[in-house]
Amino acid sequence: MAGEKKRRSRRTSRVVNPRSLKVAGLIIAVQALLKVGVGSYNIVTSGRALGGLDPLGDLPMPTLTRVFILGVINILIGLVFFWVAVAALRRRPRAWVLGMSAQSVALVVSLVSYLRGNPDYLTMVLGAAAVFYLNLREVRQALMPAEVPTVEMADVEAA
Amino acid sequence: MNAAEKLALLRRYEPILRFTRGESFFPCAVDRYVAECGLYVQVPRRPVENLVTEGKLTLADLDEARDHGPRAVYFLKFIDPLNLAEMARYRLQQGIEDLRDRARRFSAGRARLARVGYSSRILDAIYTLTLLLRGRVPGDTAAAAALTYAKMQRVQEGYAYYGRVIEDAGWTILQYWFFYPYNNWRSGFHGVNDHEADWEMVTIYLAAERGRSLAPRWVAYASHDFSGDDLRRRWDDAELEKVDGHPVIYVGAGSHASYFVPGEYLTEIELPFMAPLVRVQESLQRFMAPPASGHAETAEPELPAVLNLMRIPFVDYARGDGVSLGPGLEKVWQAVLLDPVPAWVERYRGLWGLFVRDPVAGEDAPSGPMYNRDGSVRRAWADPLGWAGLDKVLPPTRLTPALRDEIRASSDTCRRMTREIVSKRRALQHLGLRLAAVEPIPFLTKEREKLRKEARARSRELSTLQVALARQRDTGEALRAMAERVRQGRMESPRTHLTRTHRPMPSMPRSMSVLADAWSSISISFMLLGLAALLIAHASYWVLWLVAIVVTLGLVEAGLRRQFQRYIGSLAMGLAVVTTLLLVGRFYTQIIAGVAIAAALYLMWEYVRELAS
Repeated sequence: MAGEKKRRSRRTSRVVNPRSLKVAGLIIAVQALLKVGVGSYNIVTSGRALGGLDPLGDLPMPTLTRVFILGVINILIGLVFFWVAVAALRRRPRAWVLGMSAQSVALVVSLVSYLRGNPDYLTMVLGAAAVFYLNLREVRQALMPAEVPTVEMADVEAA
Repeated sequence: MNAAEKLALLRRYEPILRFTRGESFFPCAVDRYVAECGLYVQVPRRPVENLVTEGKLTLADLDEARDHGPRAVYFLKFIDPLNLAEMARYRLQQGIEDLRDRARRFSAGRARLARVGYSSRILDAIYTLTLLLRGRVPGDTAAAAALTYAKMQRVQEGYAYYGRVIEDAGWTILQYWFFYPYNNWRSGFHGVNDHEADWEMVTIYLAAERGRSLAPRWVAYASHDFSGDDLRRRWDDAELEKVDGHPVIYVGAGSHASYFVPGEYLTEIELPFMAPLVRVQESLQRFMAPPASGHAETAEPELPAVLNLMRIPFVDYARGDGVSLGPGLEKVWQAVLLDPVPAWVERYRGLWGLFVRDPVAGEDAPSGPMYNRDGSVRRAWADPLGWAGLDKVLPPTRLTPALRDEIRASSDTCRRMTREIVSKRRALQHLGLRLAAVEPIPFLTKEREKLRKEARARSRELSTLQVALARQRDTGEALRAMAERVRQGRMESPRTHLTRTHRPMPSMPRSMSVLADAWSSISISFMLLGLAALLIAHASYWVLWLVAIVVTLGLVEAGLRRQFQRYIGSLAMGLAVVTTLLLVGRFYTQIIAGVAIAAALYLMWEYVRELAS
């Protein structure tokens, strides 16, 4: 009896993720990987330059420091994106707001880079796509259940 | 009806006025006001000329014929501003009285700017700055007027209205005119304007039913924001509050506007140069969210969300928590009948207070009850039925005979149309017969074409007549149904005539009010300071910095209004759209090429599959 109850409650809590939510999660995950990758590369290259093998390096010190700091920031943003991707796929309550906030920051950085003549088209494309997907009605329904109720597996089965 | 009967009728339905705490001016007798005034004339490009000095003016002086040219503006001047010492003494006295008697003190509650968005605040800042440039009543004039009015009341306390009784088209119309010595909406209650003198009006429409005496049917309160049908309420409308048969008016603090329901009303004013933008936004709003087809009873309440962004919002406080005035109360009316119409009403077309040459005209005093500021006759005076949209409404005694006439006329029209249809159909059938006869004959081609054309035209005509007949029958049915309802004494909903109503603003959560109020007061100044700092620092990319400042201020605003989620969503979408446009602009050839390649591959696949199958 107790086992049946547990099975039923597990079944009722199963939630169908719409395809657009999965796509949004995937895009954000790719963004996260890219950011972590770029950040790691920055840290490794600046670290190698600072580490003694080539103490002076090809770059002057202030630029190296900047690259190092940029690398750390990129990794942090990447981690936030990663958290957002997982939270979105697991339908955590703050995923949508945090996702939109992170995308806004990323898009502002991309636009400023573009206006200063250093465009990063891949980041721009991924950022815009992620925002459009996050703004889709079914994604918002899935991530903000307080506004619109979601369709649960149990409801589908009952129907 | 003689004068005594008219006065008795006015007395029977005289309204009760409920004011907001802190109100300083109440309806008074004009002769006492005029005794404190001087009479002046302003001729263009000439200095102001004093015609009668202060203290010597009487109502009789106002009807004297004067000719200073067609562009001369005659005006009264009630008060001189206080000097610094008098002003300080007045403020101190007010402060002490407020401390002694907290019940009389006005509290604005939630700030008006916290109730609206950023664009409205920017416009409000512009409007506030224009007050420095355009003509306005000096700020301390209100204090001087309050002192003089209090002195007048100390000598002899009195509250007066001026009444008219008009009989027109079966209606008996009672008009109550209230004269306030001063409108201190701006200086006293954070409103739009201040001006000397203020005329307000309420009209009650009475009609008799068969075998019964006169009874009130409708009531209309004058309003700047509404006109026609939307001004009036039926006597049995739940919105209209009555005490022992007297309608209750909630008076706006300082503005003296009249409301049916107590509350705080958001009113909008439009700057003249913003008018084209206002029209554009209204058209967009209509396009995006067309108005509900129903009347005001079923329509959505008017919330601040639908306010026009290009207009400036102000709050009119009509709380009704202050002094009450009227029959059965401590302060009662002194009624004055305007019958025959006195010369000071009919012959004085000038302003009843200071003329400050304000191009927006909000700060100039109004004219008397009979005239507009430009000297033309007020519609409310000349045509009280049409003013409230009642010129198309029949009084009850005339309703049944009029319905009978309409039903008879409708039946006659139906009969006439039926006869016409029968005759035309017969003619068409004969025409069809001729057409059928010539159809197989090869050498009668021209005749056949002519007959076909004629048959088509007559068929169209017949069809139009049939549709008109059906509509006429429906109208007749509707008239008969109405006659039945009238016979049974069933009435329509009291609000079917309303298309738009003014509702008080919904209350806002108090918890965040203090922070939101403080922020609404300083946000625009912050933005201007940020702009100044950028200009002084010669910042590169200063436009970007300005955008960043505006976005940051918007974030704070959204947080205080608990709309962070919506704000961040809109911001991200805006950025995504800009990014997409930039990408499309940069890669449009590649995008077109990609689409062409995809289309080519798809078509190739489809055609090869077709070939293979």
